[in-house]
Amino acid sequence: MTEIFLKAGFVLYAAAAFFIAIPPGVLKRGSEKLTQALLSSGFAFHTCAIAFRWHAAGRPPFASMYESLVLFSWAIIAVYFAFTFLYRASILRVPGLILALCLMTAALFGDSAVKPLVPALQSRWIGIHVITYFIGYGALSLAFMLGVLYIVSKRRAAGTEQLRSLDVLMYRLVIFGFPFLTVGMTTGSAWADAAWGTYWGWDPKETCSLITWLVYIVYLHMRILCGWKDTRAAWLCIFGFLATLFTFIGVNFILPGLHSYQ
Amino acid sequence: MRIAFVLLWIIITVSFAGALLPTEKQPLVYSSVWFFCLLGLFALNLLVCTVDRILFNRKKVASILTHASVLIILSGALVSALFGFRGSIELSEGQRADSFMTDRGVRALPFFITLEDFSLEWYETAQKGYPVRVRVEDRGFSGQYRAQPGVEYPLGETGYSFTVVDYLPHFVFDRENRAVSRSGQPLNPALLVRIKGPALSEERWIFANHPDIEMGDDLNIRFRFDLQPQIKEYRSRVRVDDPGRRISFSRDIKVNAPLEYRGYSVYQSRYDSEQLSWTGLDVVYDPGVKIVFLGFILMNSGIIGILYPKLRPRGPGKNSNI
Repeated sequence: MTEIFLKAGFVLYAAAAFFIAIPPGVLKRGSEKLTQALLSSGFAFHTCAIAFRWHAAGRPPFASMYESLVLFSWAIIAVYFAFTFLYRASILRVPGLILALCLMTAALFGDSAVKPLVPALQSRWIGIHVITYFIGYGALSLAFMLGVLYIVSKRRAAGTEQLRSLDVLMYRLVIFGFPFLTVGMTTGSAWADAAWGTYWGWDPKETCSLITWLVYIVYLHMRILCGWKDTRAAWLCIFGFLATLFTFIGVNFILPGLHSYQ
Repeated sequence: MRIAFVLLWIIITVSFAGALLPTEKQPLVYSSVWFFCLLGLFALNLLVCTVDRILFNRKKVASILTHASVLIILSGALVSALFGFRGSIELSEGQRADSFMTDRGVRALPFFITLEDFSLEWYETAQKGYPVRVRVEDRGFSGQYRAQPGVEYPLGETGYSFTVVDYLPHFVFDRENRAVSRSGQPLNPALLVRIKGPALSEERWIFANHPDIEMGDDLNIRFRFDLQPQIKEYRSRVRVDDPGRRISFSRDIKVNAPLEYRGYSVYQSRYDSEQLSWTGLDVVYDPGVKIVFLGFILMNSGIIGILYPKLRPRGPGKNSNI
């Protein structure tokens, strides 16, 4: 059931991306509404896929790589919708769809078997720890995409209102995502204390998550206090997300520790 | 501010109404509990407004809170480092301990801890039949089955078929060299399969943990038993006796559910698959944890307080141009 709903979501997102890719003027006026409808229904299916998985597994479906990828892509689209609602920031649609489709492709090719949870993962903390982290990741990955866009289009659009808005949106995405990162990190610490009796053990995943968090701390201080609103801020956003990605995936494969449960 | 004015108007109205009453009934208003509450609320409101106006604004509070929380977390960590310690206890069923091992030697516990029972819980892995893979070498046949006991599975056109006859979760040979299960725990899962072939029939044990051991006459047909039993929970049932306080109780210690008593936390940490009546517990005494967690709560509130007001859209369609 999960697979079917996930594939349906994927197809609807892809269809939305297809309509966005068509140059303006080719289609009639209704296409904007159609795109939005495709995206919304894709998100509904995506949400149902997670709900069904939750029900079928009898536990929060946030344990395996497959489940993380499904949740990560869901969080990206969720943040997109939040920002559309708050700021009508339709520019996030393209980077959001690119990221979500990439992650979902990886998920659909991955091992989707429902694996039982090892004792350490059976905790009431898993829900809040993982969901908050991935919503944070969703916002920060969009900020990363905007950072890249900022740097790429800097020469052509230097000094324009568009470039300024890009920076503002990037800043707002970090502002939105960072508190989620903080809740994720501190609940993770509380969980570690409940499971192992150490609220901080300098496990590679913990250390990397702290470094990631500090990179965004630097970004926020520079942006708010020192007025970094240019390429430097964009580079920090890019660097921050690369650190995030390393924390999320890199650590599992390169640095063994308490978080590599397989 | 608005609340203060509302309260003020209510107080004025009530006082005036009270003044209209006959003198002997006036205490009903002026000495009543609710009138005092009303005045108290007004005073509180005034205090908050004043403090808010004179001392700081909301932005500053959130910023101070967040940065102070870092100090609180760090001081909690310092308290942990200076006054906290951790060690371990190893207990067999029925054994009692009043001390634990740390890096710096043995430390006394202010209570006794006795292991009443240690148990493992397993995920039900063979619910839909036993996972079996079969290969018939000379015919190039291979297949995967979820085999139900007693059901005969023909293997394509090879002329072979197999049936699961018996399952032992913890396979050992007893003194008379009979295959028996030492315990109910799936520590060495083994499956007895009956093979009917074109030349002969035989019965053969296959082992999930030892795929290389396959003793049989007709090794043209090979089996794999793919059962991977997974542990669901480790559970140490302990009794705590505190003669000084005349307290005595039993509790289950599980991963993610430590025993907390008198500032000590006791965690499920290790077990021995060869000796299931044994448990390894970690003992932690850490007065810094509460300080750190207080810091966490303050930090989260502070960060949300600083950042989320900045998310407020200023006017509709602020970014509709991008």
